[in-house]
Order: sequence, then C-alpha cells, then structure tokens
Amino acid sequence: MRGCKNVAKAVLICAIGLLPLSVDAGGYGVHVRSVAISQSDAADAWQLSVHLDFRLSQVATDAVLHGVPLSWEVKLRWLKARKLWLDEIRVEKVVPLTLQYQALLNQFAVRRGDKPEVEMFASLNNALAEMSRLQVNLSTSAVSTEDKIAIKVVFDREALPTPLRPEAWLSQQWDLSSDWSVWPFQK
Amino acid sequence: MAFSKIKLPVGLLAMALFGLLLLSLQLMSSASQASSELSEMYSWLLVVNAIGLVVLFCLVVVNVYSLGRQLRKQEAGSKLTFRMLSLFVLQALAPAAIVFYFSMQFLHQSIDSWFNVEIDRAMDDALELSQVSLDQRMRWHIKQTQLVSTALANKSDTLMALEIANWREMIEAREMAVFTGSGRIVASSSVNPSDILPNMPDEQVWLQLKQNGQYYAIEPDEDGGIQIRVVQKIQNDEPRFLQALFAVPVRIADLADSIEFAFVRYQEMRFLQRSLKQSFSLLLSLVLLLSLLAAIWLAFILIRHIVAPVKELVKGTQAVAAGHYRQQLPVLAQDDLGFLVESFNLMTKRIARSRDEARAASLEVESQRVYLEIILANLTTGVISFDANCKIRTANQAAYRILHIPVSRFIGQKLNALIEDYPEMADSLETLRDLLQQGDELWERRIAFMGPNGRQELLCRGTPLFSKDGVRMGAVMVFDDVTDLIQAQKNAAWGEVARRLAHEIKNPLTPIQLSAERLQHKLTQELSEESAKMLSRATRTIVQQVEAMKRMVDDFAEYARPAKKQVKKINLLDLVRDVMNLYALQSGVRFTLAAEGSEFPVEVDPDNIRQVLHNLIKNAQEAMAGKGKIDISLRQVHKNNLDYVELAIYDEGVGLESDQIARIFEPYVTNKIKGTGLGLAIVKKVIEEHGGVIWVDTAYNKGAGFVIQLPGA
Repeated sequence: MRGCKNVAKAVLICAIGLLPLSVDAGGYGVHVRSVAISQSDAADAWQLSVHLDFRLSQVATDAVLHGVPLSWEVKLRWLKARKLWLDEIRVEKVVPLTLQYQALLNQFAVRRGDKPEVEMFASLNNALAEMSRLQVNLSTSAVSTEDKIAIKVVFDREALPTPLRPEAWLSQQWDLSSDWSVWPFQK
Repeated sequence: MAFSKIKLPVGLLAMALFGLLLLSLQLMSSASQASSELSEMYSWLLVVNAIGLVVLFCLVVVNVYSLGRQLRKQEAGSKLTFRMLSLFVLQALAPAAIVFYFSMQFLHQSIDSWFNVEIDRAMDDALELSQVSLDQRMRWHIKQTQLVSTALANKSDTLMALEIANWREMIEAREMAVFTGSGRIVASSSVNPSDILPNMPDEQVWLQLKQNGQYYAIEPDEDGGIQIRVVQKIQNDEPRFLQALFAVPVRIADLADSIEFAFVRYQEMRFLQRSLKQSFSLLLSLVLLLSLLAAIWLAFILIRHIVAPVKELVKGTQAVAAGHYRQQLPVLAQDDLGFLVESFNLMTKRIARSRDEARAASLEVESQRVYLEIILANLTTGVISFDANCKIRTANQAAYRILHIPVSRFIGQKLNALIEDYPEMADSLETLRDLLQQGDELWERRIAFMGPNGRQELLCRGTPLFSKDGVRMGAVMVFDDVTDLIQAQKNAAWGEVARRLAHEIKNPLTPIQLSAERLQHKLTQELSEESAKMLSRATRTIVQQVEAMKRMVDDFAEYARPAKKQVKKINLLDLVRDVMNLYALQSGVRFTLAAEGSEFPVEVDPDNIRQVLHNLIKNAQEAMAGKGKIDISLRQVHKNNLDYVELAIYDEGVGLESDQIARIFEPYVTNKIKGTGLGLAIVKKVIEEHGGVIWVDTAYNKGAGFVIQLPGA
C-alpha cells in the first residue's frame, strides 16, 4: 500500500508540473479551419480547397528567423464510410510544405508539393498565410454522400538539425502537428 | 531440462554486446553531424542507445539485487564479490567522473568560443555587403528599365514588339516583355530563343503593381541562381507594363550564395548553441553511462568468474566440515585458484582415504568387540568390569543369569546404586565393593547369597586393570555359580560316606544281631528270671538298634546309589492323583488338587517321582500331625525358551525356620525327632537327576511349600 501511495504521489506531481505546458500549448500549433470540395471538369476529378491555420511557437519562430527550415506534410485521405469496419481509404495524398528564411533576400521561401516554383514572401505572416491556402486535386470515382475527408498536418521533426531533434521530440513548443480532422463530403 | 545445460559463452556475449554498443555510439556520433547520411537515423540511434542503457541498467540492478540477497543469506563468496565490485566501481567511477566533468567544461567552452561579437558583426557586414551589392545592381537595372519604359511610352504595340529586342540587348537583360494590365503579352524578347513565353509575374507582383505602379525584386531563378525582376508601368493610352529580368553574374551570385550560406549556417549554429551543448552533453553522458554500466556488468561477470572457485572452495570446506570427505571440486582454470582447488581435491582424497582406513580399522575393532561381547555374553561365567571409580562399565548376560539382577541397566553407575536397589544382596555386594576397591592384587572369594532359587554360592575372582603407563584403570570381576558344584561335592562326599557305612557298618551289624539273639537264647534258661528279663530287654534293645542302624545304612545306600532311571513319558497329573488318592484313603488329611489343564507330559522315571511325592506328602502329613490340608497345584510354565511342568505342594504344618531353608535339602538336616534327614536330600537328588529344580517357596507362610519344575516332554 505504501508503494502505491508513493507512485500516485509521483504521478500527481508530474501532472501538476506539466499543467502550465498544456495551457501554453493552446497558443500555437496547426489547425484545419475548413475544407471545401468542388468537382473539376473531369468526371472523377475533385479539387479540395483546404484552409489551414499555422501558428508558430516562439521557439519555432526563432528557429525560422535563424535560418532553420521547417517542414510539414499535409496528409489527405478520401474515406469511404463502412458500418462494421474501419473506413476504406479511396485515395490518399501527401503534400509537403517547407518554410525557410532567405537571409540574403530577407524573404521567406515557401516550397510546396503542389507547386513547382519557390514562393518568396517578404514577411513570415505572408508566408504562413500562403501556406494556409492549399489546393489539392484528387481523383476518385463512385463517391457517396457518406464519404469523408480526413486531413492531418504532421510537423517533420526529423527534418530539423540533429542537435535540435531531441528537444523537438520532448518540448511541446515543437508540437506543430495537427490531429486528424474529418470533414463530411459536401459538394 | 536440456535448456539448463546450455551455457552461453559469457565472454563472447559480453564482447559482442560491447561491440554493438561501440557501433551504436559511433553511429550516433556520426549522425550528430548534420552533413552525415546517418543524420536521418539520429533519433532512432538515440532511442536504441537509450534502450541499451535501460537494459544495461536493469542488468546491473538485477545483479546488485542478487548480490544483496546473497549477502543477506551470507552465501559463500558474496562478501568477496561485494568488496571486489566496490573496489572496481570506485576505481572506474572516480576517473570517469573527473574526465566527464572536464570534458563537459571543455565542450561548453569550445561551443561558446565559436560565437563572439566580432564574428557576429563580420557575418552581418558580409551579408549586408552582399545585399548592398545586389541592391546597387538592382537600382542600376531599375534605372535602365525606367529609360526603356520612357522610350516605349506612347508607342503602339507593334512598335514595341519591333523595338523590344533591341532594348533588351542594349540594357543586357536576360528577358524583356510588355504586357497589358490583364496579363496579355504584347511583346517579348529573351536571350534564349527557345523561350517562347516570358516569365510572367505572379499574383503578389500584380498586387504590388496595382498599388505602386512598379515592382522590383531580387529573386531566385529557375536555374537556382539569382535574378533581378523589374516591372515598370509604361505611359500609354492603355496601361502597359514592361518587365525586365536581369541575370546576376555567376561570380557575384556564387559569392552572395556563399555568404548567405555561411551567414545562415552561423545564425543556425547560434540558434542551436544551447541545443548543441545539450546534444553533445547527452551524447557524452550516454557514452559515459553506457561504458560505466557495461563495465560494471562486465565486472559482475568477471568477478563472479573469479570468485566461483573460491565459492566452490568454501562450499567444499563446508561439506568436509559436515563429514563429506569425498567432496571433489571442478577445476575451472589452470591458475593459482585452480592449483588451490586441485590441492583441495588432493586433500579431500587423502582425508577420505584416511577416513576409510580409520573406518575399516574401527569396523575391525568393532567386530572384535562384538565378537568378544558375544563370547562374554555366551560365557556361563559372569563377567562385570569396573572403571577406576568402581563404576560398572560392562556386564554380560551370565551376570544377570547368575545374580538375577539386570546389571546392564546399571552401567555407568557405581555398585552403591545396585546395593540401594537390591538390599537383600547388600552384604554380598558390599563385600565385593570392598574387594574391588582394596588394592591392586588378584583376589578370590566365595560369596553366598539368597537367590530366588534358594541359597547360592558364587566363586568370585577379581583382577585389577592397568594401562600401559601402570595407571589403574579399573577392574574386572569374574564369578561362577558354584552352588551346584558344591552340592555335587557334598553329595559325592555323602555318597562315599554311605558306601563306607554300608560296607564298614552294615556288615558287622548282622553278626552283632545274631550274637545278641544267640546270647538271649542260650542264657535265658540259665539265668534267674529277673536276670533273664534284663537280658531279654538288653538283647531286644540291641536288636532294635541294629535294625535301626540297618535302616539308616539302607537309606544311605539308597541316597548314594547311582541313578538307574527307567525313563518314560507320563502325564504327571495322573501320577499325582494316584499318590494323592492313596494318602487320602489312609489318613485324615484333606487334599486339594488344582491343575491348569489336563495334560502335563514329562519324561521321568515314574518310580523315582512317585518316591519324591511320597517323601513330600509324608513330610507334610508328619508336619501337620495327621490333620490339616495339603494343597497341590500343577501348571505349565515357559522359562528360558523351554517348557516346564511346575508342581507345588503346600501344607498347613509348622513350616520351616529361615535358617533351615538354606540347608533343608542337605542330608541329615531335619526338624523331626525320628527322621533320618535324608528324605528331602533324596527328593532334591531325584529332581536334579531329571533335569529339574526344587526350592522352598519362601513367600508361603502358612506352613511349608515346595515347588518342583520338571522339563516338559
């Protein structure tokens, strides 16, 4: 019984210790604001207009301003709903995003998978705003109104410089990923 | 069960583990370099090393716990293991901690030394220089573009298309194009003829154009280099925009790129300054902890390996102490400890051999002792040995048989204990005690005592025992029951007397009797009546006395005559009934007969036994003066693995005095006025000739009681 009490005490202390970090975690991160689906000219072609919200933590902002490139992967899944089993993935696409500061030009470069060229922005906010607007083309047939779109933005900690990775895995300041967000299929 | 026999080569395993750890640490060290191909595996390598650290920590904890348990149980070799391990850990930990501390100091100071204000300023200045250089170039190109836009102002689209190539070549632009406000291309020219479509501005450029009427920027080109984009509004009726793209010279672009790379790298390193310290500290700590824990674990294995022979030796000595002299230990190595183990094995072998020899000798001695005990036990002579304090050490069965005392129960006790428990033998035992204590010489003494079968006589001989040093160790007493021997001697003597009496006395009696009768016959008529009467009385007296002497001599002859038995198997009960009925009819004495059964077979001479019964019953009748009761009983008894028929005769007469009892069976011992004193002597003689015994039942006090035991048939 004494051992159990000690363990419970230690868990409580840890929980109290982590409380401020959890509260601060609300000020930054990545969220999916909206998803709009429109049909392209082709019958099976669909365009997803995804509105994301990138908010960098102070540490991440400092890192970008010091030339550290930040990378994300936007994962999109078109899901076919099933009643008694997990949803079937009709189509899946990953869009990489990279944000980097160009010191010589004093601009922020955004590389995204859906565009061939590098986009340059004079301010960080503009760059983040550009990254927030994502147009993705998907191709699938026999869609249903019960289909769903699942989106997740994953911050690639392994793309950070090696000395920064342990801290990135342990610190919530680097928790710049979003959870899976599921959106109903609406034309 | 076979799994337990599988023994992994610990040394090989430890070496493999160390190799893996070193490889993992090396990989992680390489991965910590940003340029390394392993950098992508950095996190995984970190996790792998952390897991290795946890595994090693668990191994060490398990070993420490196990050692703690061994220490609590005080197992062999645990204290030695603890001391060696403590010493090793202290020796390993102290220098490692010092090296770690100074390494950390050196590392942190080295990283801090990378950055200072001068380098910061130099890097900033270098970047600013690059930016200024590019900026001046851009301003020059802006001026050139403004000149061209001024030249093209208010010209038709056709003219613009015709002149644009010349203007592009004039201002050395890579590409030049004129387009409308809606983005329609009016004219274009490129240094590369294959570029049909010009590089159109993006939305941001358009936005800025709409706001400011011009746009200029340094931007990366499609080839990875740098280009300067300048867009100017052309004064015209319809809004036209002139875009000129200028390539930055390769040399300038390379220099700018190099400066930018160095600046960014420097800024990144400055940003990562704390992370670098943490990362290197983590790496160093991992290396230290892994090395230390692995060394401690290896120390456990090695120390256990070293202590194993010592542990076995301790167990071996404990086994030897417990009496397992055949204990042999495995020789694990041919070193000093191996030599010690071999010596131990040799020692135990010798001890075992000596033990076996001692055991064999002991067995031999024991068998000799047992043999002597058997001899002693089967001796008819009683043997009792005493120590120097007169305590009984050994006693054989004959001692019990002769003395009727369980002497063996008193082993370790003094004779006084025997005297206290058997007061009826106190006089005899005290005599023996005095003899045993008196001196150092051989002694011999005849001792009499009253046993359950009557008076017994012992011939005792004592011999003092001396050690090799001449110290008196005790004494041994040997004794024989000579009662029967003495009785036989007495009987023989009396037999000789009877024979002599018969020969020397009975022969003259007949002439005496005849002479006396002739004297009476011849002289009666010649003497006076009175003298004749006197002669007649004297003659009658002589004849009567001669007759009496003849009877006495006949009795002696009967007593001394050798036995001529006509042995046959009879039922003693029938014989007793015959004799009893004969006396019951003749006298007024009452008889009772109690027989426990109906068959009492004995092999005897019926005439002799009949005479015994006559003598005993006649004695009883005379003792009771012809009135009273005679009780006769018969029963079977089992004694010394033999069946006996016991006959007891009890009367209600005057009984026997205690001093008479001892000698009642001797000839000429009687309490009757007219008795010859040979009746009971003959009875005893007959009974003993038939292998039986007779004694006076001293417990009976209403008269005299005689008990006869005859061997059963």
